[in-house]
Amino acid sequence: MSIAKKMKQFDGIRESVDPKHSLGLLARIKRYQKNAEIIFDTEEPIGVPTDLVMPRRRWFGRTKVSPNDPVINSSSFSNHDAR
Amino acid sequence: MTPADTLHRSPSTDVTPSEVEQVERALIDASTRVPVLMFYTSAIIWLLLGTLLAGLVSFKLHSPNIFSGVSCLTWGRIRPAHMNLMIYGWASMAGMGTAIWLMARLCRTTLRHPLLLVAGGGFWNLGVLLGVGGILAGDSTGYEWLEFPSYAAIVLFVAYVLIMSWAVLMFRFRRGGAIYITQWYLLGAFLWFPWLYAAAQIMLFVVPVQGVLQSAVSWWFANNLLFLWLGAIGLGTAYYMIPKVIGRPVFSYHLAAIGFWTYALFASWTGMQRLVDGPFPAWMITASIAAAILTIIPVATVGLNHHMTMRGYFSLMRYSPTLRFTVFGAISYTVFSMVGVLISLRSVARYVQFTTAGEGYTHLGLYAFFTMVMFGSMYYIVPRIVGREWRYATLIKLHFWASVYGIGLMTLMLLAGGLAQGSSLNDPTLSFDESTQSVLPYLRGRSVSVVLLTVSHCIFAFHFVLMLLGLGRTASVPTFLNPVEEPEAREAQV
Repeated sequence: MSIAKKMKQFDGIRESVDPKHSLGLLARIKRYQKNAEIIFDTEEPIGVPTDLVMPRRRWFGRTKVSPNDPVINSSSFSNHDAR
Repeated sequence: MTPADTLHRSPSTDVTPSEVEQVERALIDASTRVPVLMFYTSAIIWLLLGTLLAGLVSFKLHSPNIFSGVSCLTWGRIRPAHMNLMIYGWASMAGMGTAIWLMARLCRTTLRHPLLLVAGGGFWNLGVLLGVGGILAGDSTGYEWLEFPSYAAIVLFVAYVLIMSWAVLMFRFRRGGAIYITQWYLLGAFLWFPWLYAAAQIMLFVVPVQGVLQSAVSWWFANNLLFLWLGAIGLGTAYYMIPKVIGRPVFSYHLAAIGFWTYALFASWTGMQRLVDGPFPAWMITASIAAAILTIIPVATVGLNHHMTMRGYFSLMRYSPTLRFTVFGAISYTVFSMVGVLISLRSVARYVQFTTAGEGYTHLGLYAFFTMVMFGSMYYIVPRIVGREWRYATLIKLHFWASVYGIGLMTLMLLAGGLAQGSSLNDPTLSFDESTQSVLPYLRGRSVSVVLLTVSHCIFAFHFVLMLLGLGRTASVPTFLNPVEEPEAREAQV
């Protein structure tokens, strides 16, 4: 089975992003704005930064890291910082 | 979990959407790996050669005796060779590589028969090689950014048709109904380029228009190549990279749509404002000046959209190479457009026309905006297609700062030099020779900036080669799959 066919099989279980209500100007505007969200998915959702791969600058190891730091909460935080 | 593990499972309820997306992304990235890396590798080789020529071009302006005995290295040949190499070799190849990857990701389709795309890339390289060789051999056509001789232009066009068909086919067979703004820009760029290139070739070489109209066609082409081809790819890329990296949808999708359509409408009318006071009907130049002023609308919408999207997230630029390059490029786009409007005005154009200011404006668009956005996209895409992280954060920082200071110094020198030169040219008490002397300090400053840019490009090329050789850093979290970690695990790593 080709890769494309395998991917199509998964389409059925993908969550739809279409709004439930398609009538009315407001609904149409909302649906249009929804297009801005199509680059996100469950793996890289809205609210989670990605690609934050540069190490945090630490002056003699003194800089404290806040648990709310966006880097800590990013989906691509790697072991760069640990080195 | 690996992609293979998921694929071996039955696509039923036991496969979560999250796993599907992971595999889907991995498959799309794998299918684009060979062509995108081929385009990027070619682009970087052309970038290095172009940088070498840029150094020669710059140094010869204040030290004209360098290689003065070698006919193929005279300023009149290496300057068009450098510009064409940068536009068709570096910028177009890097842009097409990024566009292919973005199209595949956004259309959620794997790239079929990628080797045909590689063949298209090979033909494009051949076209650039023939073109640059032709210019250096004295075969230039003499039209700005169309200096490639006809035999190279044909090869380039055939290669382009091969490449474009693939992008359009991907769009045709996309999955999912929604279209993202990046796809609009990319599709627009892929359709605008053949229109521009074919129209200019036909009107200048096949059925040539007469007299001064050749200049009008030439400047229309040059300006629109910058706006509708490279500019559209750059803006499309920024619209993907900025929201994606910070994890926040673009501030207003409606504003983005308005920006796109006004850009398409007004940008295509520009170009002839570079011929102010030339032997043309006044309406032609006035129409272009008006269109240039009206481009403030798309510039403002794009600038506002990017700024509002980034608001509160600027600190993330420290951690993401993609974001720092792309945001710098996006800011430069606004500056570039504003400078473009300013030097289009008759009162200003009379002062800075025929000076280095025009060159400074071109460098703002081609480098500070487009090239920086392309660097940003490469920092994002390459790890995902080779499955490794960039090896040295220090090299990324050096690359960034050398590029920023390099292009900053260059545009400053060229714009300030242009003003000084314009002032001298308009002073009737000074001879032409004296007015030329007045710009020399600025030209020397520009050569310093070329040295900085050379360092920056060499660093990037070295880093890229490490990635190609598989010597990138193996992260605990492979970026190309990018799974979400447990917060505790991440904190433990710190």
